[in-house]
Amino acid sequence: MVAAGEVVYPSAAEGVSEFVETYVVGRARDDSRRAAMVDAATELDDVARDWEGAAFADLPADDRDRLLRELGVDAADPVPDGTLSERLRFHVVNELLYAFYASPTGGRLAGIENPIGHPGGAESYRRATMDGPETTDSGGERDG
Amino acid sequence: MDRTPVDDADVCIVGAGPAGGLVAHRLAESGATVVVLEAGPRFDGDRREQLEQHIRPGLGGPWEMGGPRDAFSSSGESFYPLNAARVKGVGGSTLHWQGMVMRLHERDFELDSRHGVGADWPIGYDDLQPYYAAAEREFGVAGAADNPYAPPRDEPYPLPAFRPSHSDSIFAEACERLGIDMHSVGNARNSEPYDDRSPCVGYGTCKPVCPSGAKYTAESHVEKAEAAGARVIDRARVRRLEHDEAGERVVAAAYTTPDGETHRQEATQFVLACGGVENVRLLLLSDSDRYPDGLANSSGVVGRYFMDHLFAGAGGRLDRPTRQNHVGFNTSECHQFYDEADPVNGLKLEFLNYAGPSPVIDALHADTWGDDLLDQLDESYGTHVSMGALVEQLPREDNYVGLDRETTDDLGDPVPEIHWSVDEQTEAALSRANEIQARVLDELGVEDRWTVGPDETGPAYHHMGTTRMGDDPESSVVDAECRAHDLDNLWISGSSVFPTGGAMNPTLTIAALSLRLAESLRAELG
Ligand SMILES: Cc1cc2nc3c(=O)[nH]c(=O)nc-3n(C[C@H](O)[C@H](O)[C@H](O)COP(=O)(O)OP(=O)(O)OC[C@H]3O[C@@H](n4cnc5c(N)ncnc54)[C@H](O)[C@@H]3O)c2cc1C
Ligand code: SF4
Repeated sequence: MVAAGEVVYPSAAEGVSEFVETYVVGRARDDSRRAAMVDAATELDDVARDWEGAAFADLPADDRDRLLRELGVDAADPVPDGTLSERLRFHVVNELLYAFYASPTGGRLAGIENPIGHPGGAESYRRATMDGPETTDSGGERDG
Repeated sequence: MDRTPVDDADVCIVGAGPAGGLVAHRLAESGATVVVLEAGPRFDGDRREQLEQHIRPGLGGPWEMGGPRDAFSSSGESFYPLNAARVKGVGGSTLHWQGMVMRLHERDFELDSRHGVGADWPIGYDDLQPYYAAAEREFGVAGAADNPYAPPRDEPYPLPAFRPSHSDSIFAEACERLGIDMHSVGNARNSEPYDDRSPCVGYGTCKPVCPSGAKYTAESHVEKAEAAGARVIDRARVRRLEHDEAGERVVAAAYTTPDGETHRQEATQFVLACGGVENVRLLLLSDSDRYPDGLANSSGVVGRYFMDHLFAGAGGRLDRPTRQNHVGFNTSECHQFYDEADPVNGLKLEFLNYAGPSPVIDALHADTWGDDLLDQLDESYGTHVSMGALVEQLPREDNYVGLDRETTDDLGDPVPEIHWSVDEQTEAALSRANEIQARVLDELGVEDRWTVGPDETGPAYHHMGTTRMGDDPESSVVDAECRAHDLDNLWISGSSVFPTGGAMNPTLTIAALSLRLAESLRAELG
């Protein structure tokens, strides 16, 4: 999963391996979901060995990216029990993207420190910038 | 689980949404023996499951709507997406709802007398005012008295209002220049801890699921009713109401459980609280020799006058950060144009805090990843603004809910047929909303504009009008206490009793009427 994370996450992401271990693999809501993730990653490894002669994680990042695209994972719909590319999209790519962009780690890169899916408090919506102070109220008293 | 009927029930309530839950709670607390029959399941367990189902494609909807149980047909000029518009389960549609709550205006109760359109209610705002206040306490409404257009109130909201968003402050500049007033809006959502529920922690997914429990759902009142002794049977689909020989009283509700068994729940009093579509369906399915056109339907108006609120919207992009999609609810509205006579349809404006796409949802649907994806997200997120509006639709006899006898659900019962269209007067009101929205967006200098107007509009998922309330048994289904004219012990709770619907989201009014109904019914039990 870490090897896929390095491709799926933008180059500005830091600490990918730790993030993946903690929030993707570690966060999987139940054992069956984690098992499906491991199965999909194993299948990806098998394809990499067949096509490229090496385990997925041992390929250079560019080749990992190309392999996933050649498998059609970029255009595939995420389907938990679908075709190989649909399963890879669901259990590998989207599992990684969900953990990342629904957290401040990925959110911040896209401009939002409290993305949906993350309980980042009921103050951030009042700030003008990611790290700025809350906006001063305008228009009417609200303490009635 | 035991799903057999309860012995010696005083009250049988069909449906465990807010309309059923509030009545169940009040009556159980007063010592009555209450049983609630609910077609859908209990959604127990971790709400993060529904959260993930909502955000991630490929997992199916969070509330399991749309299977053979929920089949329907839509036959009018406008398609009606019924299964996006309701939830079946303990809590009802409030599991999915947004939780914007406000009172109807005084004029909404007397549209016919004041403007010669629609119908008058048999009760006025005054009659409902104390129950509105009680309903706000039950829901834990966060609000403030800064809205100069709101109807009179005697007491503060139970919780302080959510403060305006950064996005509101952008709109405020333009609105001030244009003389358009912005003010707070009631939210059935905890701005502080209330009723043993968490304050809002900013998941941003209120509709369709609040994992923290800050958003009110009717699960609260169902739980309280159970704590007070009520029995709640889930996955119990009521398929017929049976009446006595004289046709004066309902004697039993026949329901089917997941094991295929059909049971009869007898009770002294019956409350129908299945929402504005299924209330009708159950009455029509319960036809008999005495009531050949459906139970409680001597008037012939059961199912007629179906109304919803219509959505109008406009938006675009600015050249600065607008900070959308942190929370999933709105903090400001404008009710300034609500009471105008031309167009006479009520109209309220909303300033959205969730304009444009959210990066995580975009990412999960994108056809790329890595730096490419981040470039796309940078481009798509950050500068959107939008305004919404709800517009009133006046009651028309030819908008109706009926039965489609050609199509059946998985138990073999005919499905509901929604026959609905949007009339020209409503379209004119939608255009009026768009016009005001355009003034605000012009003033702000919003670009890449889009508009949802008369041609693109859709319903707001508020099912009203189909068992209307009135004094005249010839032209209405229930009386001012929400009791059927035809049957002494049949009560109807919910927005199906609204003679007109205004343009305010309906559920606070549903709650107020439910509390009032509970009081009348309690008196009847003695
Ligand atoms: C997406 C969405 C957003 C919304 N946002 C808002 C909002 O912001 N503000 C607002 O005021 N309103 C909103 N609403 C509307 C609000 O949810 C409803 O007005 C409210 O839930 C209606 O309450 P009710 O109890 O009458 O019906 P429901 O909540 O629909 O509950 C009816 C219950 O009856 C059960 N039932 C039906 N038929 C049978 C049967 N035959 N036997 C047994 N049980 C049966 C159903 O399973 C269901 O659980 C929204 C609705 C949706 C769908
Ligand atoms: S933003 Fe909505 S979903 Fe999130 S905690 Fe607040 S009320 Fe719940």
